[in-house]
Amino acid sequence: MQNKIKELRISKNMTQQQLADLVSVSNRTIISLEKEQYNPSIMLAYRIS
Amino acid sequence: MKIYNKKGFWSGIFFLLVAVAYIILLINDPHDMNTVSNVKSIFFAILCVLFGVSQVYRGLDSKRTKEDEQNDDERKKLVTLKAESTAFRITFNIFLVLTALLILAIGVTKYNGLMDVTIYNSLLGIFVGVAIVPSIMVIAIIGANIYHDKRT
Repeated sequence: MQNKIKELRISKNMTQQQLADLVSVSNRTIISLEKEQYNPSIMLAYRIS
Repeated sequence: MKIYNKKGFWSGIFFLLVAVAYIILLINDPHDMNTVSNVKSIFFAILCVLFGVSQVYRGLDSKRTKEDEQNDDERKKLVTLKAESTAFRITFNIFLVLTALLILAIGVTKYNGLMDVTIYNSLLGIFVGVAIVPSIMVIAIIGANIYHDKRT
């Protein structure tokens, strides 16, 4: 599933770790999301939004 | 002293107890102090102590507990689920193949006049031991399907 997580994260000057801490997931999950290798659950997608 | 991660804390205590048990066994048997098996036991005991101490420490520290919970997120759970499912299927298929090969071996020894009672009984014993595993797996699959079907 395509997403704009990386663009939006960079526009807000956040690191992957900072975003991961904010939404309570691991850094590895954020990497997988940005590479579009993993589709988040509705709850995670909501928290990221 | 508050326990933030009970599971981690108690698993740490368990490993520390295993290490203590190993050390007690080693002390009670001093005559074999130079054998390779005792060196392996000492190494295993050290690993248990290190792991146990780290688990207990992480269980008592709120920051590290939060880190552990964050690292055990939905993606990690999905990966674990997929890995365990794949491992289960591979194990099941291996045991099915072994069972089939043993049936073939028993058939060959029995019907081709190669039958030696000892070999036949040994093969039969191995067959029972090996065939029981996929049988249990099939029952477990049926049970797990019923359980999760009701709850989901």
